Amino acid sequence: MPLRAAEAIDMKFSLFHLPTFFPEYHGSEAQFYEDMLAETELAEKLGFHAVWFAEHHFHRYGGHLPSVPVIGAAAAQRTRRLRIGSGIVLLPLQDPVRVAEEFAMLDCLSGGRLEFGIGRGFQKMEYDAFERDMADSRALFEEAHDIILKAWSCERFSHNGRFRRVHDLQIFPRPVQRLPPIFVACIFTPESFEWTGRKGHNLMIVPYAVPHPQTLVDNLCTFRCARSAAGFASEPEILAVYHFYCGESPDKAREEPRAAMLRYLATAAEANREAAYSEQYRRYARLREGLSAMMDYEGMLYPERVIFGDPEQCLKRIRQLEAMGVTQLGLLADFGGLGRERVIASLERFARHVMPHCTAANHARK
Amino acid sequence: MRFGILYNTDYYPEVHGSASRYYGQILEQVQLEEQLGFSSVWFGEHHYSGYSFGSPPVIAMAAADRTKRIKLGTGVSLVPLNHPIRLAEEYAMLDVLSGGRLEYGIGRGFLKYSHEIFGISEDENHARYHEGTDIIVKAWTSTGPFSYEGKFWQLRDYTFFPKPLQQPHPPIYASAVLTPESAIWAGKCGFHLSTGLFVPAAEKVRNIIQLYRQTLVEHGHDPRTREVSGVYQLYCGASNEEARREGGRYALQYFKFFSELDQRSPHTSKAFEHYGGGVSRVFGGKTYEDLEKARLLMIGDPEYIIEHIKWAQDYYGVDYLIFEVAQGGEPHDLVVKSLERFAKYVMPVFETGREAAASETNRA
Repeated sequence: MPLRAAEAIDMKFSLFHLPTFFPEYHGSEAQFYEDMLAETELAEKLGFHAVWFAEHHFHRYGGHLPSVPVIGAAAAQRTRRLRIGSGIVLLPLQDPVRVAEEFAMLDCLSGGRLEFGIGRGFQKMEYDAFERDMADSRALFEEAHDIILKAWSCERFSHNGRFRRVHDLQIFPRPVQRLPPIFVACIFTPESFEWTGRKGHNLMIVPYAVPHPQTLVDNLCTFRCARSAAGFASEPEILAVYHFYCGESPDKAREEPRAAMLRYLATAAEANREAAYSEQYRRYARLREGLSAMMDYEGMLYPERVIFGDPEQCLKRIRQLEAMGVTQLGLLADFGGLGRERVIASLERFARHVMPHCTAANHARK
Repeated sequence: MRFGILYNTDYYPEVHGSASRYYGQILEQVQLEEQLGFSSVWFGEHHYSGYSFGSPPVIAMAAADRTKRIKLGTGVSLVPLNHPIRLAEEYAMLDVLSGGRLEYGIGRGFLKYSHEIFGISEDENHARYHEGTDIIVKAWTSTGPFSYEGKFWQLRDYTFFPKPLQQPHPPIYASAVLTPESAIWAGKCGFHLSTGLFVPAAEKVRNIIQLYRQTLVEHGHDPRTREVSGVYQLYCGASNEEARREGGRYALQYFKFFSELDQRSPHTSKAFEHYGGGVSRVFGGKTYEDLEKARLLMIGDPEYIIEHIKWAQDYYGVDYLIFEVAQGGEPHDLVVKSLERFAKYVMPVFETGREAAASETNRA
């Protein structure tokens, strides 16, 4: 289908894995992982920029990827060029010294292809199981961040923190990249956007979770202001993660992912049946209700909060995101048991009809 | 008799180059080991100082993706120093992603400084080891949400994903070298045993193995269905002289390396009383000749090694030998030559080993 010629769009594309496991659609767990890695290989072949793996635990909402470095090591063996990202690693829930060690190994094993995505996480059951207090989430996160950066950039380091003390430690290995690119996941909380800007890191956003578009616009503004106030002149990467389906026609693109998307939302709501309780998660209090409300597919979800469209519709959305300053689109292409054939067809259709209009993507393909 | 390889390697930038190159060579060796018919490859866990791997499942996952048949193990996973749920999760992922090839070797560690890095008291070492393993096995075998009220870890209505592929769970090799409590615990639990045959206390190690077997029987486990694996340094040379010169040098350098780590922070806890003050003391003052005479080194020409393996089978009753290679800065090409010689001249002598390797290859 011919698309109208226009100025090329500057946008990178990546594949984003936050897998929801449904045995009735995926078969065995082994098959489920195999599909995930096969899609990753396909993403490299199609000229994608990166693959991202999200860490979650204890639920079929994401719980099959409790360790990004383990799946990342497999992805690194199966690809040559694709960047490999954590989207994200839950910093408050593990020992930062170990995170530094594991991700440095992944960077070495992949020949310097790590994109280090970090965040606080938001699921109460994860904090409970690892016996961390959600009221400490920001402090835990910031301290872990500081320790990891020191571990990676200093020959030897010490850190006298509130949660973790380290004395004169030298880590091995250190990353191949002097400092891997850092992305911070920010969803609702202005303090997170501000902090990320101030530190000069890149941003990862998940717009579908945010009910009012203006909230995100304001937060992006906060991020940019903090970034320039801190003296960072370069353009940051902004990675936006969207549920994604590229269909043959507008009708098919709306209907074919519907059931899988509803399953995904129901699962996400179930994983968050206990709301985050701390003041630090004020804006998450109604997350479960928000996720459930989106089950009203036409009323609350489609088309604004997902990228479900034919190639022309996809392109139009990408232009809007480019105008917002988004530089990388993370395609959550395999969700809710959509089915292997559909996922692959959707990605291939997108690569054939949409990506040729985008300069960054063409660059990656070479 | 099964033969495996264990990487408990010490990194030297002047020999190995970058960390990427170092890992790359290890992964190349793993591919060769599969081709040559080795039954398994294990990876050790240590932290910092360039010793082994901070996260064995990460390197093992990379190895899994380059191979089809060879088992992937840990020698050992340091249970007391990790959150057991993380271990259960990571190793279950590895088991599924490798097509059910995990051999999970566990232990309590032998270096005090590694306890210090993670702020864990050595006095809690045994208790954390037992509780952590208990949680890992429960997580792997649970069919629904479960709760756990431990001394160190508490879980409430906890659901575990993903399930390991091997059912009811991957084989567990519990380590015991000098400490009777460790052998007794391994036997009670009915795990396989892994031990160190390079430790200069052959008679003590033999007693540990006997104690383990006896405990298995006392607790209703059939010793014939449990493996006893033992670790040696391996260098298979063209001649005894060459083997002693090359292999001997690297083995001694490796002993020196971990003795220095041990001396950084001498043991004070009762949990390590059987180490008599630490591994540096155990190895202290031993020359190559002492170690060779005491049959602690699998270093020689094929004939020497064949004879030594037969002796170990007889003396210890081991049925699974795991060889440490690439230590002490041993260069890649020497590791490769030694492995090739071993496969060509030694493996065929041990019928069961050869058969096992051949049939496993056919299956792959």
